[in-house]
Amino acid sequence: MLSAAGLLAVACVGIWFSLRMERPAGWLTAPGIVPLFLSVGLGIMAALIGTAAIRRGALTREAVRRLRPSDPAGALRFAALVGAIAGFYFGLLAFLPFEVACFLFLLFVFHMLWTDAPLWKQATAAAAMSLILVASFQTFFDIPLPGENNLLEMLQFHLRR
Amino acid sequence: MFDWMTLFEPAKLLYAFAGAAVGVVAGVLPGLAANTALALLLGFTYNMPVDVAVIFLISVWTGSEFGGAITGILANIPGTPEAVPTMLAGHPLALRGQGGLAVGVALLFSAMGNWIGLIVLVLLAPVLIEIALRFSSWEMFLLSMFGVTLSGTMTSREQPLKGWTMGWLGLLLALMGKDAIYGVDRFSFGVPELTSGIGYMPVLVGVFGLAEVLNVLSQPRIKPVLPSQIGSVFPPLRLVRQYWKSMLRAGCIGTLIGAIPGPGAQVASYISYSVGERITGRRFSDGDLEGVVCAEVADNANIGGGLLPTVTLGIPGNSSSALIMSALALHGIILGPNIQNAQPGFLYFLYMALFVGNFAMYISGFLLVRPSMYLLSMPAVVVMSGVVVVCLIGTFSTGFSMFDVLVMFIAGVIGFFLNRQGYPFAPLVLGLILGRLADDNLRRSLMLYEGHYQDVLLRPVGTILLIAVILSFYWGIRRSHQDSRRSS
Repeated sequence: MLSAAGLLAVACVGIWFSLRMERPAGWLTAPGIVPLFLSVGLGIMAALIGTAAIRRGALTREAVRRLRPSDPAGALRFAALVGAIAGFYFGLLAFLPFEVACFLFLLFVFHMLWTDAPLWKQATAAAAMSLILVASFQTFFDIPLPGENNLLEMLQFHLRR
Repeated sequence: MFDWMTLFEPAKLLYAFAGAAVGVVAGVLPGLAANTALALLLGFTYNMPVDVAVIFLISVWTGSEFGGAITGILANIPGTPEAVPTMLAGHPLALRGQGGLAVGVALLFSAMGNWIGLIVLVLLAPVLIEIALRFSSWEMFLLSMFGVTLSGTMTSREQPLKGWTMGWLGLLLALMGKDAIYGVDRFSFGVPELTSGIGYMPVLVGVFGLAEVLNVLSQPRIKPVLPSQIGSVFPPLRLVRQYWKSMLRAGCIGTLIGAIPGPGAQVASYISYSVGERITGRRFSDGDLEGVVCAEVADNANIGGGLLPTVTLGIPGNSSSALIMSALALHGIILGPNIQNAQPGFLYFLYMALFVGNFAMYISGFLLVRPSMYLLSMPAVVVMSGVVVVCLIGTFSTGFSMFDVLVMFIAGVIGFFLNRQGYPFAPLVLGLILGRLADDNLRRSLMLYEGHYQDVLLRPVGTILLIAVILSFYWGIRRSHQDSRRSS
């Protein structure tokens, strides 16, 4: 039901913007014609999925209760994981060298989900993994990494000087 | 640019073996199927010469299709979704101390399946290209729509609406950015990065990579129980003579299903397994080498089958071939009927890459059976956290843009929830890849036939394709009604 509502919203946005698009040579070749056709189709399908869900009892109190997570700790862990990934991609990398950001992210995730390992093991694994990933991608695939700076590159630069 | 003789250069052979080894390892690790491995590695091949990228990715694909069998047979956990039938037939053998033999049979017949797929590809590709060259823009539009609708019908069994919805969403996403005819901005909402559209690379990495990480890490971990003794992995070659009928049948099923847009190796191996059970009259789940043969041959023949429409028509047969198509598009190579003229020598190079990749898979498979047992004992969180970093590097490497990373992240999170609700990804991928093709060709044919729209009905191929699109909708609706009647 929720996914159908989301898709219906996407379809409505699609229809609205398709109708407002420029039409340099009339309707039949307008840039908005295919998006309009697709948005209308998407809207109809989303409505059908939503109707089927309602018929199966998606609006009953029981169904609404089922939306609540059966394992609140698991849901919290999932939210923390998504938050950690977002924090790593868009937070840490904005001001930290790639290796450091990668190490901090891995350590956080290991600490949260690899509960049967001691902290020193988690930290060692996080450090080893971030170094292996950086070294292999930079040397094997020759790929510039995102982030404020790159410790391995800086080290190579200083060694060359 | 493409010379198949260069495939035997040591550097390229090394890439083939590296790719096959990466593929086998990805197949062994639960959660990393062929799609995920290819999506993650797509970005890294951007910096490689295109011929190296082709042999590397083909080897990854062949390796990962086999790798799932090792985990399925030895640990009773399917490494990949397509390895479930292999697991059903092979794990009881492992419990009887014949795990090594079952894995060896899976490897040998995976290679045989690759051979069958390759032979069909070599025989049919020129014929299909010849036919496709006669297609006008109207037929190309219908062919793209047929690919997306059939994919939706085939991939979401009880609710084809969900498959079609994903296909439509993919088509819509593909149309973001400037249109090809007038250069008008579509759905860019004033965001400068959106004027060039959403690249399908970040979306593919998001739905196949990040969504899979979230899926694996949000589930309780199953600790694999590995057999202490697996026995010899080398299968007696007489088995090929013994199971040749099953092998050919499974090869035909795998190739045929591969050539139909949408269903991948998973559907092929299931169908081949159940057809095999029906014909032999035996229950493979009691432990049966013939069950392993049926599943593995179909699984790997799917590669050649999947590449057939991808290379000749530009319509991907399954998600993995869509990813290969995307990798080539990053290098400016557009697959389709004009491939022979645009890239002379490409087809022969691809055939030979499949041959070399198959050989590399066979050798890497033998060498990696025992080491992969150690990999299985690693905690999933260690592997999957690494995949989060690989998703980031892979996406960033294609455009050096953090906007692409944002698209990947959003696609991953939304993909996770949609996957939980039973929405398949294959139609979305097809829609994303075919969206621009469908749009350009429909509008071009509307211009061509302006005022004489009835003339499109006089084109027999177009009419057949139009009927096929309608039938694929009808078939989905009918099957969904049958399923709901059966379940009620």
